[in-house]
Amino acid sequence: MTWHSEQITAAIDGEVIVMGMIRGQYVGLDDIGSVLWKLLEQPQTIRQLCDELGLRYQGNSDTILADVTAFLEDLRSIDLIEVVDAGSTR
Amino acid sequence: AERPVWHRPAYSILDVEAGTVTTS
Repeated sequence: MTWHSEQITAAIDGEVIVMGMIRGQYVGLDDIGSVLWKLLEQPQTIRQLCDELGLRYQGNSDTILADVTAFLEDLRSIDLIEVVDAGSTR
Repeated sequence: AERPVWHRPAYSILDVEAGTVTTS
């Protein structure tokens, strides 16, 4: 997964605001959401994201996986991220 | 330094056209 091409990202005081141009929505992300969003600038698998976040935060790996998966589903549902071919992930 | 504690990522959506704000 990675950023959708139809969005604009801005960072304010370390937190991210994303404008989704398809739906005309502004989305404000909290601290962890902002970190996750920045990681998505390059194509990532969910596993890669969870591994990286597990290094940065104290948390149960199953909880991180569930939370990240749900968060990504939400972002995808409002056209802020898109699925890319596996060959595009690093 | 200790790593910060994980919590579920949160967000707020401002829909200009509908005039609504939705918080996760």
